[in-house]
Amino acid sequence: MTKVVLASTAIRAGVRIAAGCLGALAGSASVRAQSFVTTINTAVVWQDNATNADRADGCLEAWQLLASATTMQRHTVSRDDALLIGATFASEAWSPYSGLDQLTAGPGVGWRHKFGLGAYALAVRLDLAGAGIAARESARTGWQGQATLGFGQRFTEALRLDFGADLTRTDAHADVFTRTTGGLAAEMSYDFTSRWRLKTRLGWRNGDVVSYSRAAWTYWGWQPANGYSYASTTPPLLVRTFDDPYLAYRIRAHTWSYTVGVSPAIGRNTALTFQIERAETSNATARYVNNLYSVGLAHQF
Amino acid sequence: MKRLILPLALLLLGARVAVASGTVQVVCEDEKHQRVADAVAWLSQVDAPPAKASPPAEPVTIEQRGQEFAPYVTPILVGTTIAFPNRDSVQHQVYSLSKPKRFELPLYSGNARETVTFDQPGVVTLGCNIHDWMVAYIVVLATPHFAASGADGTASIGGLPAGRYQLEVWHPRLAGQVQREIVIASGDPAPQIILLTLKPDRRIRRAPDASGGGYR
Repeated sequence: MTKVVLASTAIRAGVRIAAGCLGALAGSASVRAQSFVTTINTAVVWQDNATNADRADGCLEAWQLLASATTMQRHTVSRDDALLIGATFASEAWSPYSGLDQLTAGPGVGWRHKFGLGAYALAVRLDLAGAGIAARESARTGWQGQATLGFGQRFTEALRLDFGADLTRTDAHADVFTRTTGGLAAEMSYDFTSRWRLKTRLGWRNGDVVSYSRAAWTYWGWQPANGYSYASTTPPLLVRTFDDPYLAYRIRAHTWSYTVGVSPAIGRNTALTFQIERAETSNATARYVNNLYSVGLAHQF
Repeated sequence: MKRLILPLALLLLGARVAVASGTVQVVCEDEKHQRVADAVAWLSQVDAPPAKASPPAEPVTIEQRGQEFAPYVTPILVGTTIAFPNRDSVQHQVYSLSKPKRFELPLYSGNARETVTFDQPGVVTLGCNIHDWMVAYIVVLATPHFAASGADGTASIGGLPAGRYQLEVWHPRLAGQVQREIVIASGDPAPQIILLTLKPDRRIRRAPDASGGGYR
């Protein structure tokens, strides 16, 4: 009940912010809108630990197919400020564990400020996004809200650095999938040529994660097959998402992630990305690693 | 005296014949002998003051089309005015931070209300404050004798009076200065083949990044 109240409060707050922005837009004669810019993003990801398991017997490999479309309209407020309003539609398909499949859709609003003129001026961005989550397993269905604050600085035509902080809240039907996380990230991109880009990213995240453990039926009900006791912040939930029964735990942990990738442009508005990411999550009682290998394609219309 | 008058008259006649008849073909090639487009070649007279010429009465045009500037390189005479019409459906905010001409056209669609007159020689780099990859160059010259090379790498500079000239070439990626002295007598001189040492193309990439998913 508390969760529903929290979610509805967050939604109402989001609606008020959006309404305020639209009101400000309507009230300002100098604000000018331009046409929508749409970007599509797809990626095929293979990962070695789809269950976020900290025991080898619980780790399952899986494929993810990601697709998203974001459309944003830019409203110029002043020379250095712009407001972006738009929406994102995304899908996530898993193989062979289709129980993890989900669709998300929701609005987004962003503010951009440049400290000066030109490509080399420091830029700051604030993005607020909300989305409804429709998952194949109803326990995972719910709402998500995210706030991101970022700074970007281009040093040369080839070198750019970005720093970002984000706060994400997911409210799902099942408590175990309801989580709050905060993160920091630093990203560098370097263009060796006008076609080839090197990308590196260092990320840190703290908050709730869902870790799964293979389950075994005992006299006391479903228990971790390895006999280990996890420091779950909610009662564990038995899921049939995978081939065998697993228990889902929500734990508080922090994650360091290291990403490196290369991105060749295959057209003026199109690029591929080949990327490797390693994420190490730990807390006092658990530690697991995710290795992700992905090929992505982005196109801006 | 008679012996002097006749050659002098012939010389003057020859010089007059050469006026506005000389054309120099400047062929720009890179180190691999590939033709180089968007190089600007210009000639300055060595033994005479700079040729007097008036900038065009109508503004020269640099368009924004497909979120790029067109043309990429535009040579102009000092005092020339340029218009920056926006042929895109999105707005652009054209600016220059270059010393010879600093300016900014506030965000606009269609034809910009303002034109810009370039009254100092030098290279002016154009950008768009919204689309960082958009770049173009204006080469503002004190001489009327100039041309930009096309896709075939050739820049044709015509209407040259006879005399000694300093030929200079510029390109956005040029690694060093290129200068050469040439003489225009009667008739067109042989094409000037200029070898350019070019730096790698370091334009800001336009294509977006694809995200590679991520852990949850």
